[in-house]
Amino acid sequence: MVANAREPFPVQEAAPTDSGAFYPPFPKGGAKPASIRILPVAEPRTVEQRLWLCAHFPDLALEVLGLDPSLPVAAVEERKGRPCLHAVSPAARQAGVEAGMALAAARALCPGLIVQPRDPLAEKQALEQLAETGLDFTPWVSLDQPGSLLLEIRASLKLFGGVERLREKLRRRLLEQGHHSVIAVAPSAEAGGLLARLGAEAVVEEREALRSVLGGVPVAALLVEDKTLRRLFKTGIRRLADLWRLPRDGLARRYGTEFLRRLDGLAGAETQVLRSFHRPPRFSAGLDMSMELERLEHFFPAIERLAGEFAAFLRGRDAAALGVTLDLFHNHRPATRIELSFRNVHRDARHWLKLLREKLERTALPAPVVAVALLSEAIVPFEAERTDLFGDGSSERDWQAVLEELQARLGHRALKSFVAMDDHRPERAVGGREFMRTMGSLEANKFAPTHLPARPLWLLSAPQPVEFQDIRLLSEAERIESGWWDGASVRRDYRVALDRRGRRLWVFRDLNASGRWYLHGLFG
Amino acid sequence: MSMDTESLEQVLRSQPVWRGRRSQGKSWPVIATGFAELDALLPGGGWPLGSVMEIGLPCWGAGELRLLLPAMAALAQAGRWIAWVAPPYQPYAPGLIQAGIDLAYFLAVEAREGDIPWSLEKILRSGRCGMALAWPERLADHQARRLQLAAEEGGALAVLFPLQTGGARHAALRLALRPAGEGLRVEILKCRGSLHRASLLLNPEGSFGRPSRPLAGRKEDPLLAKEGWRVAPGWSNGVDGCSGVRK
Repeated sequence: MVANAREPFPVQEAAPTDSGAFYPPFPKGGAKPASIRILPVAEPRTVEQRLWLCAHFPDLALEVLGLDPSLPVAAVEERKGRPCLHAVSPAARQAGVEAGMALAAARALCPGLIVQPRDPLAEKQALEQLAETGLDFTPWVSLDQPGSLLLEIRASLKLFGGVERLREKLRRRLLEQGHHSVIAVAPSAEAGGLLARLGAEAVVEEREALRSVLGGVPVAALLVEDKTLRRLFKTGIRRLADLWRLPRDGLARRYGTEFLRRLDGLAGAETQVLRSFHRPPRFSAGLDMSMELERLEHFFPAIERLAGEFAAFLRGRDAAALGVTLDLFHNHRPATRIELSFRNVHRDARHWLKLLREKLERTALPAPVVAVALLSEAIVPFEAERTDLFGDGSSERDWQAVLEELQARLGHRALKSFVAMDDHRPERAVGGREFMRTMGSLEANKFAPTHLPARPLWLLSAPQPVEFQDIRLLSEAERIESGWWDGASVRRDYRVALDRRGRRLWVFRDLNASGRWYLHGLFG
Repeated sequence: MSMDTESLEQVLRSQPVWRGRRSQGKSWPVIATGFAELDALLPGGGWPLGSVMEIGLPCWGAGELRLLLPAMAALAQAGRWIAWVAPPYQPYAPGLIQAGIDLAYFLAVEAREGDIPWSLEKILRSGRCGMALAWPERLADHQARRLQLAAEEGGALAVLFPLQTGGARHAALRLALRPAGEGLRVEILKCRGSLHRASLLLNPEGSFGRPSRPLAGRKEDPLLAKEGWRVAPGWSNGVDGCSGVRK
C-alpha cells in the first residue's frame, strides 16, 4: 500500500518513504520539519473499501399483519383509486396471483385468497426494530433502501468470521423476530439492494465484479419511473448489460443525469450519502433504599440524585427531555408511577425536581418506598434557547415554567386559551382549548367578529330560562338563525338587557321554543 | 411659578411635612384605566401596577370587567399576559376580541377555591403577567399579604373580587362598584398615596357594551312590531346565517 495515494492533504515535500511503509519516518535532527505528515488516526473508510450487506424482507407487509405465508394471503393497498395487491404469499403465487394485480382479478384466480389492507406504519416500525438488531453487527445501519436493511460490514468481517458466517448469524436473528429475509452482499448499497429485491443471495466482494454480476438483471427491476422504463424498452434495452455498453453522455442526455447516477451507484461509484440509523436514546436508572421509607423528605434525596444523573446524561449527549417518569416501588404493592411531560424541552434537573415534589406532595402513597427509578424515553436533541438582544428570552422561559407548575398541580385541563370561531351560533363561536405549548399571536386572532353587534365577555355553558318581567331590554333584537344543516339549528333573537340587580345580560328569545326567554351571557 | 411658591415647595421637600390629601411625590408604574375622570382621581393617573386591588361588588357580573377592559387590552397589546383565575363563567372569545384583547396573551385558569391564592401568586410572580383577575369566595389576611409581595415582585396588577371582604388591609386600592342605571357607580374606599374618598359615576359605554341600537322607549313591546327583517350592513351574505336587526 502506498501512503501517498491516500494522503488527503497536499504535502510540501514528499517524504522519503521506504516501499510499503505506511507511516513516514520521523525526521531526524530537525532537518526537514516541513516533511512531517500527520495521518488521521481513524481514516474514514473510502468508497472502495465499503462492503454493504442488504437484507430485504419480501414478506414484511404480510408478516406485520400477522398473516400465515403458507396460506394464500395478500396485503392490498389503493393504487389509482382501486385496490391492488401489494404483497402476496408464495402459496398465493402458486395460484397465479402476483403483486400489483387488481384485487378483483386476484380473487378470480384464487377464490380462497385472504386479504388484509397494508399497514405502512407497522412496516416502518418493524424495520426500525430490525435496524436495532442490525446495530449489534455494525455501527453503520441505514434504512435508505425501501423495505430493506443496509449494513456496512467491512469492519465487522473479522469479528464475525467472514461474510458467510455473519450473514447466517444475522439471518437467524432476523428470523427470531419473525421476519424472513433475503440477504445480498455487494460493494455498493444500490447493487446490494437490487440483488436482494430480486431474491438473489449473491455475495460480491470486489467492485470490478459488479458489472458482470448485474449484467443479466432486467432493467425493469430498477426502481425508475415508468416513463423511462417504456423508453428504454422502445430502444430495445432489456438488461443492464445493454446499458453498460452505451456511451455515458448519450445516456445522460436521453434519460437524465439522475438515471446515470443510479447506474453509477449500481456499478459501485457511490454518489449518495446514506442516512445512518441510530438507536433512540433512553435513560433509566434506579436506586434501592436501605430501608422502607415513608416520608417524602427521606426518600426525595434519592430522586434528586437520579435527576442529577439524568441531567448529566443529557448534557453528555447534547440532548434534552420532553418528559420523565418516576416509579416508586413498594413491598407487595404495585409501584406508584408519576409521569411528567414538559411544555418545553428541559435539561434542568432543578425544574423537574420542583415539579416532581409538587406532584409527590399531592400523591398518597399506598405503602413505604423501597426503591425509586427514573426513566425517560422522550429524549430529543437540545435546542439552544433563542434569545434576542433586548432579552425577553429568559422571562419567557420562566413564564413557561410557571404554566408547567400550574398544570402539574391543577391538572392538564386547568389552563385554557380561547379563539373565536367563524360561526353564527354563539355557543360555537368560541374555541376553548387546552393550552398549547407555544401560542403565536398570529394564530390566535384569525377570526375577529368586530363587525357583529356587541358580544358578552362571559357565556353560560347552557342557556338559563329567565322571566321576561325580571329584565329590561336595552337593545334591538339581533336575529341569529343558523345551523339547520348539522342538527343544531337555532332561531333566536338576541338582546342586551339589564336585570333587577343592574347586571348587563345577553338574553335571547327562542323562536323555536314558543318564544321563551333565556339568559346566555353576561357583559360583566 | 412665583418666588414664594417655589421656596415653599423647597421647604416642603427638604422637611418631612405630612400633606394629607396630596400624593407625596412618590411614584409607581401605573396603567391608564381608560376613563379620564377615574385617572384624575387615582394617584399616578391609573391603576397601580405591582399591587393588589380589591373591588367590592353586590354580585359577580356587576360591571367589574367593563371597568377593567381598557387596561386589560392595553396590557395585552404590550405583550403582557392577562390571566383570569377561577372566573365564575366561561370567558367568551368574541366578546374579548371586540374589547380589543389579544387572545394570544389571554389565559384562563380553572382552580378550586383552595388553589386560587397559590395559582395567583405563581402567575403574579412570573414577571410576564400584566393583570390577574381572581374571584375567590374569601381571602385570608396572610394570603392577601403574600399576593401583595408577589404582585410587587412581578410588577403585575392583581384584581380580586371577593364576595366577603377579608384581606382588605393589604390592598393598595379598594373600590366599591355598583351598577347605576346603565352606568357604574365607582367609590374609591382606600387608595395608597392619597386620602381621597371619592365617588363618581362612570358610563363605560364608549367602546364596549354598547347596545347595537338603543331603544327609544319602552312603552311598546318591540317584539310585537310587525315589520320585516332588514339585513344589517356588512352582513349581506345572510342566506343561511341570517343575522339582522328589526327595523
